[in-house]
Order: sequence, then C-alpha cells, then structure tokens
Amino acid sequence: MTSAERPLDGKVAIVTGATRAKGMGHAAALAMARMGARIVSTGLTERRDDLSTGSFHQVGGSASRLDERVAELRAIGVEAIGVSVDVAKEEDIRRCVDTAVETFGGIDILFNNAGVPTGAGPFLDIGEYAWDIQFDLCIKGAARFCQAVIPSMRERGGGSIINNSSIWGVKPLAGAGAYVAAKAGMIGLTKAIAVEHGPDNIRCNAILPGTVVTELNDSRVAMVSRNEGITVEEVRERMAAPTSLKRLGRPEEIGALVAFLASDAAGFITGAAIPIDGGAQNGL
Amino acid sequence: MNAMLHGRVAIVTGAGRADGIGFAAARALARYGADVVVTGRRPDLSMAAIHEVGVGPNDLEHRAEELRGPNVRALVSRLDVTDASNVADCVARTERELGRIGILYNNAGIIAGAGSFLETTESAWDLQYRVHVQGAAALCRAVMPVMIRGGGGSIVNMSSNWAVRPRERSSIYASNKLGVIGLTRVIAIEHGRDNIRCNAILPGPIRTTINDSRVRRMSAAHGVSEDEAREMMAAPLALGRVGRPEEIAEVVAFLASDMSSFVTDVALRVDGGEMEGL
Repeated sequence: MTSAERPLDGKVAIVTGATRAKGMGHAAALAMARMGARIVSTGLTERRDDLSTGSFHQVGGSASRLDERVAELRAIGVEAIGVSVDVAKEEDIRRCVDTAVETFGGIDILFNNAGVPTGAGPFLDIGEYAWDIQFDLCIKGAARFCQAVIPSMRERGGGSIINNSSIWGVKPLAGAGAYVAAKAGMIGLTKAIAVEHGPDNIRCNAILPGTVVTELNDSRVAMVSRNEGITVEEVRERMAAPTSLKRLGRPEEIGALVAFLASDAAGFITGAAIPIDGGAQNGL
Repeated sequence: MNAMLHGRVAIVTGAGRADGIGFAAARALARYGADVVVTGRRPDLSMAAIHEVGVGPNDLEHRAEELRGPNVRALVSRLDVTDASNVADCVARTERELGRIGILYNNAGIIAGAGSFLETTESAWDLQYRVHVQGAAALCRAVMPVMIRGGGGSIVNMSSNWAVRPRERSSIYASNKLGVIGLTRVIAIEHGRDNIRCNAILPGPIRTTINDSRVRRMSAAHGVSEDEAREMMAAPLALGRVGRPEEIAEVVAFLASDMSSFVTDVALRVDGGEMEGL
C-alpha cells in the first residue's frame, strides 16, 4: 500500500462519543480506519436518563453497542479497541489514555466528538444543571481529553486534535442557549490549544457541522414531527431548506473531513473553525 | 484515496511556475487521478517593474509533461484570465479534448500595486480587480454551464489570509482577496442546487518564488538576513513555520474531491494558525 492510499498508516486515533452506528464519532472512526489508523473508540456505556431532555433523546448506551462498533472497525482490517469513557470523569479519561498507550504505544489523533443535547428549550428555562452539564461534558470534557493526550503526542513529535463544535457555535439558534454557548466555547478552546501547542507540532481544529442525519437528529426530527403534526420528510425538508446544497449531511461526510484534518494533508491547517453544513449562509 | 479524482477533469489557472502553488495543486490533482489543464499567462504581459509574472514560452509544456502518466492526461492552455476570448477558448478546448470539466481551481493572481494606500494607482486597482475577481468570475461563468450539464462540480478560489487579517501596504490585494470570498459565497449559495460546491482557500505565507521576493523586500526594509526575515514572517503563526506549496495543494485536492461533499461556502484558512482577524 502506498502512503497515498493509507495516509494514516501507523497512527493511533482516539474518538469520543463513538457508540452509535449512525453517528459522527463512528463515521470518523471508520474513515480513519480505512486510511490505516488504529482506533480507540470510546463512549458512555451506561444509560444516563439524567442527561436527556424529557423523552427527546436517550443519552448513553450499552457496552455491547461499543463492542459492535469495534467489531465493525476490525472488519476493515485495522486494530481497534473499545474503552468505556464518561468524559466528565477524569479517571475514565486517564484509564482510556493509559490503555491506548499500553496497547498501541502512543496517541497521534484525538477526535473530541462526545456531546449531549441537554438543556434544549427556551432560554429562561435553562437550569443550572443544564449549564453545568453542557460545560462539563462539551468544553471541559474536550479540554480534559486534550490535556491527557498532548504529552503522548508531544513525545511522538506532533499530533492532530479535532473538536466537534457546531455551526450553531457561530450562528444563532433559538431554544438551545446552553448548547450554543458550549459549542462556541469549544472554538475558543481549539484556538487556545492551537496557539500553545503549535510549537509542539500539534494541530488543533474545530469542525462546525450543520444538520447531519444521525441518531440524535432522527430523535429531533421525530419530536418535531410529533409536536407539529407533520411528516418526518417534511421536517427534514424544512431543515435542508436553508442549505445551499438543499440536503442534510451524512455522517460519512463529517468522517471524511475529520480524517483529512487528522492527516498530514492538512499539515498547515491549525486553529481553524471549519463549517461543514452544506452552505447554510453563515457569516464569515 | 489515491484514485479519488479518477475520471475528473480539472482546470488550474496560474500553474506555470515549477515552485508555485498552482502547479503543486495540478500535481496533487493528477496524483489523485484527475486529468489536468495547466494554464498560464503570456510572458509579454509580465509587469517586470512590479513583479516578474507570466511564464516562459516552454514552461507550461514542461509542467504538463511532468504531470502526464499512464492514467493522467494533461493539456496546456495559454490563458490570460482577463481576456474573455482566452477564457472561452480554454474551456471549449478542455471540454473537447478531455471531456466534462468537474474541477476549477482559480489560482491565478498578481501582486501589482503594493504600496501605501495613497500611493496606489488607478491602473493597479484596475489590473488586480480584473485578474482576481473578474478573472475568477469569468472562468466560473465559462465552466459552470459545463458542470451543470454534467451534474455538478467543485470550484476552489484562491483568496488569502490577508483578506481577513490585512497588513499595511496591501489595500488593493486585501480588497481583492476579500472580493474573491464574496464571489465564492454567492456562487455557493446560487448553485448549491446544481450540486456545484464553491469554496475559498486563505493561505498564510507559503514558500514560493513570490514569497521569496517578499522575503527579500522584508530583509532589505528591516536590515536583517533573509533567514531572519522568514522567521519574522513565521513568528505570528502557531506552527512557527512558513507553509509548503504541497500543503495548499492537498487542501485543493480535498475540496475538489467527494471527500468534501458537504463542504461549500467555506473560507478555509490554511495559514499555520494565525487566527487573527475575522
């Protein structure tokens, strides 16, 4: 195999929030595996009803779900392991990084993808708990993971960190104040890491997905359809209308961008916040 | 991945220099399997007093020869992007000889007219606009009907990080490179429904002949060595180094390919982490 075919040969990647079959985390893990990377897939393996918003979306999964994802990665022909991680728990992250280093010798790539929809609703209804959860899981979860992997990346002469922010980190969205604030905060975190660790040859970028057909989005579509008495197709069409491409994104499309940013092809890109939203007419 | 552009036809403007970003992009596109048209300006249009632009009579043919391989066809097109009939000829000939054009990389540019704002001249404003904004627009208008007939395409326009993080003595260049982003965005919005994606790249300092001449000017202006001048240029960047043409070329190939199929209307900074400005 030439390096052009497997540009991530020999690299080790950790992906958080990768338990869902139809999610951006697993799609990124698959894309990087196809480019030759060894993968550490992580996710919440216990159900956490306290993080969900009403019946809208179930947060957390099961150990067997993570095992299924790992099996799908191994089927590509790369080494992969699954580690149960709650990004709110420093000891989980430490254990995950130690396991990755013991198993594969170090870490080159980190995709901070874990996130929750907790706190959806009118601004005045966002409680202390939702603010705490959004900041703890989204911003601090990503920051903790970065702090845990950077020493290994530094030892290996560099690395690439990709943070999954959101297009709603840079453009307004009603009814998701805590989420929007946390996603905007992730962009700041991204730039701070980029500037501090550029000299270590560690690149750090944020991706800003628009609406992507994931399990999380399916739940949202189903909820809107129920609440408004319209079909799910109508809901999806409405979500796609503001995009230039007139369609929603696929998880594989997010995965491809993550894999590109992870590779040396993106060697001069750092500190960037990159929209991937089908062209939803954002500001600069 | 190595054949991700197999069967695609790409036009790259401003690809005559062996060490330039345009040719590096042409090489990357060809390596991923695309057929490529390398274009460059006629040497007699060079504005020697400002900067040596344009390419020698045999340069383009040499470039094309380097690209050709068992699975890669390459054409040469003498193209001044400010000349409407040149543009029409180039696009017609490309379609005739290579087939449907799916990729356009508007890379051609000039740095005419650098100076303090009040020193800038009408003719320098005019020339830069004709090359950067009107030239890119002319290529887009000529190529896009071909893309639409073929079911879509990807356009990559060369902007600059100077568009969003201007420096002194760059009024014409910064204005035009910001203009390129405006053009990019309206094309993306109007033609997303035709499955045409349009994105801009905003490079930071990249080591090319043009950059070398900027380094020499900095070196003279600050009374430092060229190495020191290059260090000054890299100092504001997180990565602490100037970029290589290949690092822009890989981004062009990514944006040209289906790997970026949900990426459009993006002004992508490839600047080693300057992170200042808009």
